[in-house]
Amino acid sequence: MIKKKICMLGAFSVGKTSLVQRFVKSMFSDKYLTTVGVKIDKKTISVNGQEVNLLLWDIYGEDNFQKVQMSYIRGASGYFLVVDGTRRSTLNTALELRERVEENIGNVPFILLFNKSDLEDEWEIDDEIIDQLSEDGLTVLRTSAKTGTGVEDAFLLLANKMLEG
Amino acid sequence: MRNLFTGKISGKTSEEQRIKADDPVEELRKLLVGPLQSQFDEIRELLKDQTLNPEEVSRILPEAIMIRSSRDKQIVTAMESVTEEAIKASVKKNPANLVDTLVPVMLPAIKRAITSLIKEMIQTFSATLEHGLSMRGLKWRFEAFKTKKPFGEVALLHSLVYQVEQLFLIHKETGLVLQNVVTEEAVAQDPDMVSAMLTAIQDFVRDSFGAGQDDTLENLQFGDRSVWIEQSSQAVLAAVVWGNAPAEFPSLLRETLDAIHFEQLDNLRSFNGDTAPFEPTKDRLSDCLKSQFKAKEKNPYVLWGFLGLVMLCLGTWSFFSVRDYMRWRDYLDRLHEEPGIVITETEKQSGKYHVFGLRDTLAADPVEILKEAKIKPGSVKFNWELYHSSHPTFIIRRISSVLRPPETITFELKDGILWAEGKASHQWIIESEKLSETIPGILGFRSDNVIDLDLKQIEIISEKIENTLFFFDRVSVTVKSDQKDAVDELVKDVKNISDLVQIFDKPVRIEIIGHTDSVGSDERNLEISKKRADELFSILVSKGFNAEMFISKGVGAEEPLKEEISEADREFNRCVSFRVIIDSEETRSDESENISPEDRSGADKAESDPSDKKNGVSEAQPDSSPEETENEEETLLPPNWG
Repeated sequence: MIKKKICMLGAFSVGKTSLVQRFVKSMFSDKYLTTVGVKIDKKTISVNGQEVNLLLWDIYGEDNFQKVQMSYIRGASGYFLVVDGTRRSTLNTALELRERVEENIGNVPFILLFNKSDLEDEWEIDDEIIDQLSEDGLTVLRTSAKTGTGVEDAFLLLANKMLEG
Repeated sequence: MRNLFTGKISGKTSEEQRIKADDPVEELRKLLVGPLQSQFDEIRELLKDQTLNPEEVSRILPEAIMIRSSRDKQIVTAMESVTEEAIKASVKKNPANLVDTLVPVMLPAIKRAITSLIKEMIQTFSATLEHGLSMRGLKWRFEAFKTKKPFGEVALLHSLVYQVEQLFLIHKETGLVLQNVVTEEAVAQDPDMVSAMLTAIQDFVRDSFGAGQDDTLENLQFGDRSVWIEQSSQAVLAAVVWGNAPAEFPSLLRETLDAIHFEQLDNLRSFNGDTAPFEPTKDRLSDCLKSQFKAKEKNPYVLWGFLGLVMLCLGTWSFFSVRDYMRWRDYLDRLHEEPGIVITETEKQSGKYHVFGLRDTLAADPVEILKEAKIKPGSVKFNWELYHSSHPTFIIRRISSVLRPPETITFELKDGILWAEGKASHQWIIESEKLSETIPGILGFRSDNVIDLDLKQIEIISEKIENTLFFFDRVSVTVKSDQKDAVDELVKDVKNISDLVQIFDKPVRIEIIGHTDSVGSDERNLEISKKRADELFSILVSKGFNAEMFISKGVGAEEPLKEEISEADREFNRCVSFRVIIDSEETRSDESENISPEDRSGADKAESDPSDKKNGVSEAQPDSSPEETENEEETLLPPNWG
């Protein structure tokens, strides 16, 4: 059995927990979430016929008052940078987080998720920016935790990238 | 590569110069195949000459080692002995170098070991303090003394009750579970989740308190459970323990982790999420699933209390059973001994006693005896047949019911003879003698031991009468006036005795004896004494007594009551005394025949004048009136008589 640690990173209220919920449909401990700042979930998926246990570390959202503890990132095989498409600033946060993550654990597979695709009319982030990020070599996906759009694909894709890496 | 063999190629250049000078063919060949030849020569030289350039070797060596290490362990094997020798040589040369190198590695390990040891000591000390002064502690102290073990050890041994429920071997870097073992009894959570959580907690604590990377969270306590954590550079071993793990348990964890670390170092370093290589660690982890279950200590007080209660109930039941049995046995013994009761059979049915037998109506009431024996009357049913007991008690009781003896009489049956004893009236004795002949069950009746109260009374009265004396002045034949009460008492006694003797159907006669002192002539004294007796005779007859009852006679001075020494003696002898005579008819007749004509005078006179009889008592008159006697006395008796 292959086990991989995945971290959910992003600004406050971008939909990290919702994405995990959508993906896992099971929660471990809400109390733990509020106390320590991380909620851990688990999901077993099959990648190319191989069973993979994904340990999902849903880390609290970063804002001006609280920075993500990089110790939580340690040992992660991959991570999601979650951006709220309706808030431009969350992209900046995500990109800053990426830099810090790479400083701490090096270059590990990650996917940039533009969440809340169901609210595309309200998005503050233009497609051009997203395309530019893709062209810069970042893996970018549009997701909606509300509708489930792209969620499964995102996790599968990251799992693939981690196994390849 | 070409540069590697530079030196050799230079050697070949001088040879070419020689050929060039000597041979045009060679010159031509050189022109045609020179470059190729040159390369060929270089290769040939290379193959021929194995001597390597150290500079070039140093350049390729690290790469070569890395490539070979990835293939197999040959490099390690090859370097093993060299490394050992090198270390030895280094230590020999300058130990300080190795010390300086190892200090950063060894110091934390030593520090951890010492910390662990101190913790064990503190636990032991705590246990000593905790249990030192309690009752249990005293018990353990005795045990420590007996087994010659330190008290702390004994205390810990008793207080440690634990079970290692789960063990997690966690990859330190990723926080992923490499191996997990769990006891059957434990309710295990998903090991991956728990492992991740532990890792997160560790990270959280470390971040929160600004601890260094080497500082670790070693113990978590939650309720009855605790998580013991040991860490190496690559792995974390976490044990979930229920209860109080022994102080040496962390050491066991440490040893296990060290062993796994040593065995799995390569796998730990190259861990990429695949936990399969760590399967062999399962046995080692399982060895840590220790448990120490304190023998379930039964509460001795509850046990003793229960036993005591049972014993009390049993004792109470036994007591009452035995008591009831003994009461019943005593009761039956009592019934057996009881006259007039014959028990033929006893049985117990449905918790009730049944008694069968014979019972005399005069026998004691068995129900009353039941009450005396403190047995509930309702628990016994009697089935009696009536009969007449021949027991002496019952015979006597039956006789008593017929004879109705006074309370002063008791009966005893000896050899069929009923013996009466005590005091009874003459009439009862006579009637009992008659009635006893009709009572069945006895052969005879004896009243020898019965005092006849009537006869006794006669004796008493007789004695009283005989002790009565009437005194007279000198020559006087008249009862002194101060003796009137004595006369009344005499009359009363005579009346009583005359009544009593009628019961016996025997006549009573009272002899009235007149006395004088010795002064004067005998004849005169006889005359005076006779008159004095007649005086009393007259008084008694005048009181209604039959004259035949009395015999009056004078004895003069012939039978003095006292020897006359003084005047008082003479005065005493001037009296009338009495003698009571109770005898058979014949005796009476005989006595009557012996009476002198003078003595009988009064009696005869009374008989001759039946008209003077009063109340059936003959009234007799003395031969002379008192006045006459006085006159006679006054005239007949000398002045110094009486």
